[in-house]
Amino acid sequence: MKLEVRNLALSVAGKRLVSDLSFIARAGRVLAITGPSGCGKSSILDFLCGTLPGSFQGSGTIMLNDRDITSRPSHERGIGLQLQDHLLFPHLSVSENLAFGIPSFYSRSERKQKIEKALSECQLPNFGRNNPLTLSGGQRARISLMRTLLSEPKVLLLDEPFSKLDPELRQQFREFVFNRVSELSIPVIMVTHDQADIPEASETIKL
Amino acid sequence: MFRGLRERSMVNSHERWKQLFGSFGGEKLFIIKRRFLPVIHILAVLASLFSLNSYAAPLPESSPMPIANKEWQKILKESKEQTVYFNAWGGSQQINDYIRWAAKQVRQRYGIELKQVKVSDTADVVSRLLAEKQAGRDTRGTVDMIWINGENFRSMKNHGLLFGPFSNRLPNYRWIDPQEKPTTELDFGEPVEGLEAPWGMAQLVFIYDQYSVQEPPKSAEDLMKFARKHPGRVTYPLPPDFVGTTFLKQLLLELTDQDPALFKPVDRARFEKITASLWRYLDELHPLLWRKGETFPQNNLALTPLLDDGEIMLSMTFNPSYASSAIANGELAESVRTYVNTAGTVGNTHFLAIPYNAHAKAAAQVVINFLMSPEAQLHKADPNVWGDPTVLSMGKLNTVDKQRFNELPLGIATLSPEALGKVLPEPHSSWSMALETEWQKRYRQ
Amino acid sequence: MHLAATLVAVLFFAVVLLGTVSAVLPAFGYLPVLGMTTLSFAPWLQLWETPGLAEMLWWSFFSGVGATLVSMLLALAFVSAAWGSRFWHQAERWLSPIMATPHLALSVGLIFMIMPSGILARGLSPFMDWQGPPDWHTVQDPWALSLTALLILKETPFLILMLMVSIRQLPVREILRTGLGLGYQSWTVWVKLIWPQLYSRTRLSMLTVLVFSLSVVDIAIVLGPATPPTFAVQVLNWFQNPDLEFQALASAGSVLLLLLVLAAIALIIVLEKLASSLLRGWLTSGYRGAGGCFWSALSIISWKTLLVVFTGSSIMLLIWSFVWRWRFPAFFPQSWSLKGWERAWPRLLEPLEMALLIGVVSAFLALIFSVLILEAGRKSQTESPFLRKMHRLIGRAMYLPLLLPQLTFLFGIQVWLIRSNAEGHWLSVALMHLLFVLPYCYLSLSGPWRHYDDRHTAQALMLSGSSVRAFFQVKCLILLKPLLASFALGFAVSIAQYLPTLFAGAGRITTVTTETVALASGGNRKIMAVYALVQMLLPMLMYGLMVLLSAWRIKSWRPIRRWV
Repeated sequence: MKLEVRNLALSVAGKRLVSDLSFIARAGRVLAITGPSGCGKSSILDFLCGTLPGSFQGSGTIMLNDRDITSRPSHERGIGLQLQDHLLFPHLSVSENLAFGIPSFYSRSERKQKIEKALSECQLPNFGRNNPLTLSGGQRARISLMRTLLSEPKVLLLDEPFSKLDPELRQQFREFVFNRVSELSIPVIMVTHDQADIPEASETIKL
Repeated sequence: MFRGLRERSMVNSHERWKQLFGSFGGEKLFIIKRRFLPVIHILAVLASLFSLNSYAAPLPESSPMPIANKEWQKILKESKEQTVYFNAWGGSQQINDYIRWAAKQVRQRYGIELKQVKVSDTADVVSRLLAEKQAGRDTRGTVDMIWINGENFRSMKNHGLLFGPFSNRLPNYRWIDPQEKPTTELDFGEPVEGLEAPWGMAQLVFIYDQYSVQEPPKSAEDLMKFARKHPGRVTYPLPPDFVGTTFLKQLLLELTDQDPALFKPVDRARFEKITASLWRYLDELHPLLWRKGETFPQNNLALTPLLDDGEIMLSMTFNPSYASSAIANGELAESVRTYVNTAGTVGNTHFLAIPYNAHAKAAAQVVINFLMSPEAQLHKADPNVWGDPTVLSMGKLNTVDKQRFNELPLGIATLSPEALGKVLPEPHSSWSMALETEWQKRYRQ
Repeated sequence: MHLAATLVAVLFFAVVLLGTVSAVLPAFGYLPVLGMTTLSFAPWLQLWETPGLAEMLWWSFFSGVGATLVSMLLALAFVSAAWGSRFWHQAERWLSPIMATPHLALSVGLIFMIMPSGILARGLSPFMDWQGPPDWHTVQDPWALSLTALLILKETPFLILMLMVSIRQLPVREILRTGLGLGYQSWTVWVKLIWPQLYSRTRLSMLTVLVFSLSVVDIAIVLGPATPPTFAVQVLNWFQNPDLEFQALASAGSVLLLLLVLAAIALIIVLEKLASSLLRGWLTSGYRGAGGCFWSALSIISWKTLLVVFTGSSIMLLIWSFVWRWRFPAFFPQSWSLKGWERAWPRLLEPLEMALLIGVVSAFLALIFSVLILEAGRKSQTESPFLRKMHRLIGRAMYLPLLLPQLTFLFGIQVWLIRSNAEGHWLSVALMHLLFVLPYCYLSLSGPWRHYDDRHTAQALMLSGSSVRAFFQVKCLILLKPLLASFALGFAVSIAQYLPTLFAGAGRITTVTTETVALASGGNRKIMAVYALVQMLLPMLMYGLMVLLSAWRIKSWRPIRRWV
């Protein structure tokens, strides 16, 4: 698995944010993109995901395993995006939120198993029926990440995953994320403005 | 544009029959009516309990002698500044316009404020007056003047709801000639006796467009043939619209060769036998009608746009000059004409009356007198205004007025008095309800 | 101030509840003024035996519930398809005029489009070889389809507006990004993630649409089935029948109407519960969606159709008011004339003046009362918890007149009006209108009031030392735009009122609306078009005036604001 980006350029309202950026993200490794806020880091993720707002212009080529996916609709790209808000859906329970991520081809019992496993990995084994609004910020973040991972993305994008958490929780969640990531053999691209977020074994692009 | 006491509701037919056949004597009807007090006026009862009204003594009977000048001056003086609430059917813009014109005239001439209370069904007003009487509201009633005839008149007369006699004593009554126009003294078989003043004349005429119909059907029999030839292009207004009911009467008169029983109160025992030919006719006609007779236009005015669009080929009206004014208003094509059946068509007179408890009796008399004047009648007969035929007798008018009437444009589609032919007298007023009820029962349930 | 606000609010509910109770009692034969003091079920038996009762109820129910569900679905679909696109801005431009257009005027315009000799048939006739107008039962059809269509046409924009307001509370972009990131199609994200959250926020608005649709009378008279009519119309017919027996029957009918409304609400809630339990599995099945483009395109097409029908109806009104001759197959009128206006104008003046007077007075009163209640509610936040609770209750209960069928409690109120000899006066009519104008004004102002930054007032208080000046010169000026918009809305609501005018006016007060309904049966299209057009233009002109006024005021008062 690898994701290759060639000649990426982004602009908004005539203002150039990123120009001629090329990089390759490899399986099992974290590619960090850092830079001050407003420099277009998150927009790069949106471009990769295909969720760039209409006011932005983007150009470049995205190759996933040497296949051009630039013009594919976002739901067909197989790219998972984890937002800094760790948004959970309040009309669904915690386990339903997790179930929302699981692809539809799994059988009912497989889904159930996966949810149980995810809950215990999050150290929230008995929280399945809870409303997500009752969870703390850190718990929400873990569930939200697990939901993204359950959707079995071919690439994982992390958008400032730790910025909205308290300092101690931040450390905990960092470990949680990197433990999960090291188990997976997919490319991970993380956007952050905090040097502490970047694990040693990763490449870094500074904007 | 007017009709007898009626109800629109279908549920009521059962009750109607009870009233109709069980009680035509008067007293029993009165009792049933009493149970039907509208709730609104029950509240008026409450109000009157507090106000402790003294009841006005009934007016002394007076012979139909014209009002003396002195007395009339007194009435004129009394009428100043009074407001007359004129309860009149308000569904026609032309008529409402004419009443507005009259209101302006009486304001300028007599200082009277004439206000039209537009009602959708005059029977409602009659019931309200009845309720006011029950409630003991014998003065300061809410209605000062009412446009009326037929069944409503009979009902008001029987219940003592009318002021008068007054009409035959009004100065302008001298232009009326009952010999020439017998319906000005006999309203659907009921003697007028000065309790209502003739206002206008009506006769059923049919409307067609020369452009699409060369030979209109001039009898019930021809109408059936016509409908067979043009399925879906004939209809009539939904009874109890008064033109719809009149159409039923017209058919009945033709089909029974004017059975004398029709001019007497309905005889329950013979009703079925007399009307059998009508129902047979309608059973055959209805499948050939517009929308297969499943739906009918709600009222006679609704026929006009249908005729204009070509959805139907024949329309009908109770006002002989209606078609002309509709042409003048752009509602119908220039090629539209009217006709009457060879055997003649049903006609009648419509009247103005004053309720016994009216607040502004003097002013109401002045207004009615004005409305009977050659000037007001002339304006009313103008096809560009309303085109309602006058009740006045040409023989009694002075030469100037007579000439004015003669000079009135007849209207492109209006038949001359000769062409209007024979007026078939209305059946007794009880027939309207009986026919409507039976029609409802047969075709609406 | 609390006292005044509470008094207004309590009076408001008391009138609505008293009206309802006064209408319910006669239904059980309790009419003490008539000497009927024993409770009985006779009116109910009579009601039960009404021929066509089931049919009337069914078509009312069908058109009401059908129109509500379809409108809600269309509104949700439109919001989903339009979010973030140019249609969103298009909707923002169009919604005000559509909302301001009275149902009645729109229904007359719709008739001119769909009737057998309407513009649709005229457009088709060259291809169809029709001798005369086709045998279309498109107006007053027995299946209440034209009525349902009109309700959808008018209520969808209202629900769209409500959705657009409540969608601001949702992090739509984040939800979309998350959903897309999980591999869902955007349409599926809307349906599975945003609709459930939006729905619960707009449910109350949807229920007001439901209640309105079930109990509407004016457009049902014009456009609804005729024999038998919808149930609400039949109840009104009974009320208007002067026979006492029918009063009890009508009361029973109005209670049945209330029950019908409650049953429909219950059905919606049951459907909601059912959907939430049945669809839960589907929500979390992992199904990522297919054919989203199709649904999205369909929603945009529906929206465009809606705009076309709305514009078409308005244009038809305009055309017909100037038509002289327009025989059937011709697509364009043969001749034009100003005579329709010339004839209609003099008799239009009085109902027009009345409508203006009543509309302005009731909208003005509603504005004052709304501000009073909102200010008191705002103050209560910092005072006792009891007061806070009470004001929250008041806020909820403002929906009450919109959640009860008009007929039911208006009749009860009319009884009291007559008792106090107040019927037939324009002020009574204006107060009756207030029952419906106040909730709309209150609801439209409550948002801006909630979002107002109190620091402005605090600052002004410090500078001027007068709370009155701080309120009028700062708060009211900052909130001038919503205040004027709310006034225009209140005016539009008042203009559209038919039943309250009919009941409180006692036939002596006529407005453009009552006259239009009365004319609709006559079928003089030119005059009908003039009346409907005037009815349509009144609220729009008021909106325009308010927009101008707010622009002008803000400009001319700038020095004062600077001084503050």
